[in-house]
Order: sequence, then structure tokens, then C-alpha cells
Amino acid sequence: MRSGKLKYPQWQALLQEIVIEFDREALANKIQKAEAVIFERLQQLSPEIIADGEREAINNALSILRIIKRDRLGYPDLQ
Amino acid sequence: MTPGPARLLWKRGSVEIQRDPKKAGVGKTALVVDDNAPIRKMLAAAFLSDGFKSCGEAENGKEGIEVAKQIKPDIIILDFSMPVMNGLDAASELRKLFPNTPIVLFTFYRDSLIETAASEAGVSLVLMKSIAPSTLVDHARRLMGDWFVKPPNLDD
Repeated sequence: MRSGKLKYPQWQALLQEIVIEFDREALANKIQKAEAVIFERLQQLSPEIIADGEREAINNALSILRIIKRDRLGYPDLQ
Repeated sequence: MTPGPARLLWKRGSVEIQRDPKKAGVGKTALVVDDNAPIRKMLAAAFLSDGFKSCGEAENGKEGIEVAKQIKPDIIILDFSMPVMNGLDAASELRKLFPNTPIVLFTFYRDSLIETAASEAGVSLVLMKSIAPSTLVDHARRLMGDWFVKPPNLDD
């Protein structure tokens, strides 16, 4: 999928890069960048506004990032 | 004494953090443990701009424990997902070392499993990373007992 067709390209393009990145160091760097962008984006989204499903999409993306960090980078998760 | 103009402390991108002279010098220390450097720096700047004397930083739970032993923080902020040692495992160790120090888990991930594990680990409060750094500092102050509601010798 081209980034032009993404609904939330600001952070979804970064997620796409992460999914296809297999260099460990580059992967860690890209995850950090994506998390920083999502952190700033979450603060822009008012809690009262559903924001066109973006919050739910971000939660799904964060779940994917957590799995990638656990399975591909070996980050310790819940026991 | 009339407070002087706010002093620019830190600037990153469009974010400007200024030290408020009314809140300066209260002598408290924070520790922020997060593997994400931009987020960690943003949080540290928020604490410093709100009058904290210093803010230690560490990029994983194990390093956080070592830094905490050195600086003896008044408040500890932990990310959950970090390399080497996650925030919950770090919280368990930190709680043994600092039984009275508030520990905040500041995370993207908040579900019932993490809430339960956080409680068992001795975490004082779980906050989502959707809140602003200034709101995190507000919560931290509350946990510490609103220690700088009225700093001395600044309102004369």
C-alpha cells in the first residue's frame, strides 16, 4: 500500500516501515520514532472526540509495536 | 521580591519549556526511565520547568535502578516496555529500595493485566501516555503531597 492511501499517514507510514524492517538496530530506531510521533499525536486528540476512529487505530498499532518489540527485539513483557 | 522573566530552559522542535521562577528551587528530584529518548527528554524538561531541582534519566529498568540508588529520587516515572528490564520488574525492585517513594507507570499499554501486575509491583499510579507531560507532573505533585503550592520568599 502506498502511503498516499493511508488514512493516518503521519504515523501509519512509520508502522509500515517497521513491519518490513529486519535490521535490528534500524528496527529499534524506527520503533522509537513511531512511538514519539504517536505520543505527540495522542496528546493532540481530545479525549472527548472519537477522532474518526484514529484512537482505536493507534491502539491497534501500539499492540503491533508491543508484539514486535517482544518477539523481534526481545524486550521483556509480562511474565 | 518580584519574580523575574521566565527563562528558556529547553527547546525541541515547536516545544518550548520555561522555568517558572515562582516554582524554582524547591529541591525535589525526579527520575524518568524510558527507552525512548525524545519522550524521556520531554518528560524531564516538564519536571525541570515545574521547579524540580533535578531529573535523572535512564533508558531501561536496570539502569533506572542504578540511577535511583545514586540520586534517591522523590518521584519515579517508569515506562512499561523497555529493553533489558521492563517497568514492572523495575518497579518491584525499586519498591524494595524505596518503600515510600511514589512510582508512576507511564505507558502506552493499560489493560487489566498490566493494572494488576502494576499493583502487585508496588506502582502508585498507572497513567496513559495520551496525557500531556504537564499533566503527568501534576499527578506527580499530587502523589508527593503538593509540596510546592506556595514556595517561600517569592510572593513578597
